[in-house]
Amino acid sequence: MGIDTGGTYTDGVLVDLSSQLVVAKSKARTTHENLTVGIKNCLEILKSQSLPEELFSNIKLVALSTTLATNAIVEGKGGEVGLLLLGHGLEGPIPTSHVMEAPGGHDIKGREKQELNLQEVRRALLAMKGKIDALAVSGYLSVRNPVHELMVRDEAQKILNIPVVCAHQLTTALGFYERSVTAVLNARLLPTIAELLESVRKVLNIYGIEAPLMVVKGDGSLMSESVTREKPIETILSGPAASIIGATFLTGRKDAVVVDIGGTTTDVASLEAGKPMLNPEGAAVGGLLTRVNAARISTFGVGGDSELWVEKGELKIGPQRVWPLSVGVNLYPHLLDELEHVWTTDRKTKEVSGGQPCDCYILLRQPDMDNLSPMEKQLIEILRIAPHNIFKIAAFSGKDVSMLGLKSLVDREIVARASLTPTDLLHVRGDYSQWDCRGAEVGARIQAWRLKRDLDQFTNQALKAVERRIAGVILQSLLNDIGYRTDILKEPLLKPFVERVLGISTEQFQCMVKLDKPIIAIGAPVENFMPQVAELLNTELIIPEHAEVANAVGAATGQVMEQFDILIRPSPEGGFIIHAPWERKDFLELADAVDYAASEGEKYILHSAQRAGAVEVNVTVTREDVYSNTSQRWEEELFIETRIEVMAVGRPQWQDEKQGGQKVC
Amino acid sequence: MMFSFEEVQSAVMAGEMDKVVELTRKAIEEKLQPVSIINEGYIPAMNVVGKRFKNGEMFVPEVLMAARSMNAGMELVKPLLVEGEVQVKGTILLGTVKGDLHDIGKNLVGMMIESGGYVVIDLGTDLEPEKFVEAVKEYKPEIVGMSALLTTTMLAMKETIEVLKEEGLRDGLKIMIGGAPVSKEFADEIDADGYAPDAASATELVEKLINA
Ligand code: B12
Repeated sequence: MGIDTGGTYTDGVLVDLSSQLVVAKSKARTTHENLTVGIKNCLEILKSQSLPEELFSNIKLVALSTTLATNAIVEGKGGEVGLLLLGHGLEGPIPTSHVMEAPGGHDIKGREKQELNLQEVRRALLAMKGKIDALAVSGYLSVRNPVHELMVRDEAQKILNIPVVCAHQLTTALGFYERSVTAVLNARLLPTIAELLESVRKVLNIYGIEAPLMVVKGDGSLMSESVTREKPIETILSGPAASIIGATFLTGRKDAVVVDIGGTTTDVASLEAGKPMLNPEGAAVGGLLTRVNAARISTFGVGGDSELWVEKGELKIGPQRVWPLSVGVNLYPHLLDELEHVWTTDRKTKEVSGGQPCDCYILLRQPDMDNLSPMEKQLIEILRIAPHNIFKIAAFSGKDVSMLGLKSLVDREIVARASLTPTDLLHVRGDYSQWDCRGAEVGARIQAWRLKRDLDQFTNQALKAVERRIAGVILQSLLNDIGYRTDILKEPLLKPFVERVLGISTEQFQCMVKLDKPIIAIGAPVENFMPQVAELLNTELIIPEHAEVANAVGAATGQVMEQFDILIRPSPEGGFIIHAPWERKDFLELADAVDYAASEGEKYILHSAQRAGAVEVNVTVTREDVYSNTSQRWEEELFIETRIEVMAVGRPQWQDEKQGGQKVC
Repeated sequence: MMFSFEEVQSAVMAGEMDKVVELTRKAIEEKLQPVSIINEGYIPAMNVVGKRFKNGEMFVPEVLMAARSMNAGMELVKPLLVEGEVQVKGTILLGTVKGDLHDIGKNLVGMMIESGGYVVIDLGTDLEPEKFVEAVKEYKPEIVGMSALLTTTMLAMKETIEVLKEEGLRDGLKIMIGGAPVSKEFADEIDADGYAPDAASATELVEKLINA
């Protein structure tokens, strides 16, 4: 069973692993205040689908992908955390106020920079005692030698008796600041994730499900309940990664561009050899940079609910998200009359600037009136009675239609704006009929008139523009993947070519690109836009069945994967130094260092993979000797380092199974 | 007597400091380009010194004499190089990495860059990565240039870059490297932004990195 608690919906699927088929699926609203309510509703809907009884009782594994950690970080929730820094201070925002520093830390060769002063350490720990629920320890260059962090951990466990998080255990990447932040966030999430796991377990018990519970990581792989309790930070940004894994399972493709079109945004990611491409910088959450592995996803502000607006005779798309007019009119039918009035009368009487004539506003919640300006109060009073079009609001308030000042209320999510969107145009074209087609049509007619087009011309032109935009963002994302950062539609030298690729212009010459991999499209409006997008990019389009629950499928079908590198470098005193995640060690001969790194690395990773809940573990140890040529005059080869990459991949352990492993070298 | 490059070259190679100074004065009087005095006078001479040292035809004291006499001439040329340029285009930190004492090439590079209108802060030789870190924090340069002449100290360049990463300073900087054994391949391998084989192309590299 795969469960995904997303921003709007909580999805559930049952996947039969022998036939590799999705046998049941369900969607319930995500309940942000308490995620388990949404999860329970989701299971209830699954259960109510009159599935064969044994299907439910035979569940061998429950895998969860959750936004909980991401949300908790953004909202600043979690436990009180102490941070003990060794050998170096920190500049920049740190997500805790209990920060202490003690002498210690290493240099780039992993030699002691300063002796660890255990007395100072104890003093710092005692100063934080009673004030914190968990401790994060971060040493300068601990990724070259973890010994100080490990010594402090032992000391802290004796003195404080609370969970201790060592930065080097979460990442092997350089960056003292990011490692420290990662450790603090991880420590802060410990109680939050523990609570979630416990309440999910309770829900599962109600349904008699006793299978192991696993959680999706930011790279799309799975980890066991117990590892999740230690490394909750690994779950951030796991949703998009799960959807990529889901896409590969549903299509059987290993290399593809995965495009997910949502209401607000389009997410593009690359699938390589069945795995999402990772972000080398680490994941950023809530404005904080971490060193957590996460899929590299490019997000662009274009989606089904992006605003289609007209300015100076030009049609623009997004990035603002609005309510589609078809949705607004569906909920509040009187808005249709108001929009008709705009069409018959208002549009001719007055130019609107700073907004669109078809804009309507809806009150979302009753705000605290004390924090509002007199003008804002008046607007709230008007909208409290009913949502309105801007001409109506102008008439009621006696203000000019271009000077209503509603934007700050929208920014604070007190009111919502409805306007024309791609979703509306799909209603006009007859592809959709979910909401109110008439509302969509008046809106489109008004905007078409402003561009001097008839309704059909406008609808086709605008939908074409949306397709081009999506094709453009896919191209942009692929260029980002190979390190090209600039905006392809702004770079002067590139612009004429991109415009011809996207069919915006054909003047003088044509230009074509051909993607060398298919596009896998998931998300609601993909059938309507993506065929044309794939045509522009000259590639195959795959829209898998069950695409709308790809995240949950990805959770259910994920693998357990662990990976790290061991560095072996020449020592200035002669001999070689191993920098491994668990220790730094000296050797006289390179061959001995390599043997030791490979065999210990294998033991270490097998243990981690099994703790993470893997069975049928394949361990691969790859050795890469890195040399560089010196200048031509020199004609020497310089030995830089040996990298031992240790990787373990296994399938998640199912209920009533034993663990075991094997090695491939 | 007319000035000739051959004469300057043999004076540098022989380490005759007074003669180098005298010939350089003459060159300046004859309005030769300061850059060509360096590129066509001193550098070819030092290249020959290098070869002879390698082949065991010259020994350390002689090499040092050659370097010193070149420096003496350089003292005269330097003010001319910098003259005229007023606008400061950027700040460049320069240093020879840990374990390495060679600074002739680095000094030349520094002078040439300075003459291009940049502020050059020379940190010296045998610099621990931490010295670069402190200087980056203090001077906030656009570019850090590292020099190494020994294959054994090339790795110190990699380590210096790694320490800058640990300190979170790498992203805001451009890093260029150079020195006789250094190659483009090595620069790419250690994640430097650029490499230049000589002082003239070092100036071009600086322009390129600053405008990137
Ligand atoms: C002069 C010299 C010395 C002098 C240095 C004096 C000084 N103040 O610099 C002295 C005598 C002290 C010396 C000592 C040693 N040296 Co010595 N030395 C040389 C020599 C002969 C010339 C170097 C030189 O100045 N060249 C002239 C300048 C102008 O060229 P350059 O340095 O290459 O710089 C140019 C470019 O590379 C570039 N560049 C340089 N830096 C930078 C930086 C940036 C950012 C950029 C963009 C470009 C750039 O632009 C420069 C101008 O065009 C070379 C031989 C050679 N062929 O290079 C040996 C040489 C470098 N030395 C060598 C050795 C072995 C040593 C010693 C170990 C000897 C010993 N056994 O004691 C010691 C080491 C001391 C130490 N810890 O550093 C070896 C290195 C061999 C190797 N594979 O590593 C060489 C190659 C000689 C040889 N063939 O054996 N040396």
